Amino acid sequence: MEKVAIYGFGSFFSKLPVFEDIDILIIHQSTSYDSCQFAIWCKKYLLSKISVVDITILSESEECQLSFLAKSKAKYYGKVRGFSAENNLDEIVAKLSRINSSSELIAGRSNEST
Amino acid sequence: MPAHNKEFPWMSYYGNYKFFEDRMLSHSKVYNIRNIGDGFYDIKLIDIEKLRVFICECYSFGLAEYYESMEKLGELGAVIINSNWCGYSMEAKLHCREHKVGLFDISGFMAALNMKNFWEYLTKQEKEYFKNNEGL
Repeated sequence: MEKVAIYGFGSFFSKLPVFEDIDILIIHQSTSYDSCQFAIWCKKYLLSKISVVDITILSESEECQLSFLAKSKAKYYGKVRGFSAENNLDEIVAKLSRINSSSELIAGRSNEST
Repeated sequence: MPAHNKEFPWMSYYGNYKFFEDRMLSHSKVYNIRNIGDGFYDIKLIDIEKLRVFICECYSFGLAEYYESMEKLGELGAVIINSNWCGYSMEAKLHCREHKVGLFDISGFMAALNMKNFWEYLTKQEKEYFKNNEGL
């Protein structure tokens, strides 16, 4: 069963009142085609739910090689499993919407910045 | 921040390709370049056919993003990663190399163009990496 981990990084997650976009990292299990495709599916789902978002995808081994988590100081926001992917992602989007009170994350709305 | 477009392609956030264009036009193997727009270029090389290149500005570029690129952008001769962060992964590099697609940063691409099989070009660090990780 495929699964990915979702992380957030950048100014939005530092709770700064002004930010340009929401930076999300998806880490998937391996560089197999199926694992990559599941991560891409998760990305597309998040793009449909969150406005002004920039999504990066790496496998676990790629992240280890690039040390992306350490460089970005990314924070973990949840796991997404194949059989419950939409529910898992909806829960993560709900978590993200509570992070920064100056934002509205639902697709189609604009961010409010001070 | 780069790749702020939700949809492909991941154009340069600032639309600034001048550095790339200047480097290409000064390269001895480049006959001419044509800016197609949205980060795409057709590069005519002196000794081979036209090369379709995409300049991608992103935090990092892994294999999943390569698959997504091919799906959205069609056949490419090379992907050039313009990133001040992590660049491309070695898995993506190896996969692209095996499929005769170049994956480079700008300086790597400049060096690669001096080779007939440009997609095979590896930096010194990459050669060392693959030598130490033969099972990759």
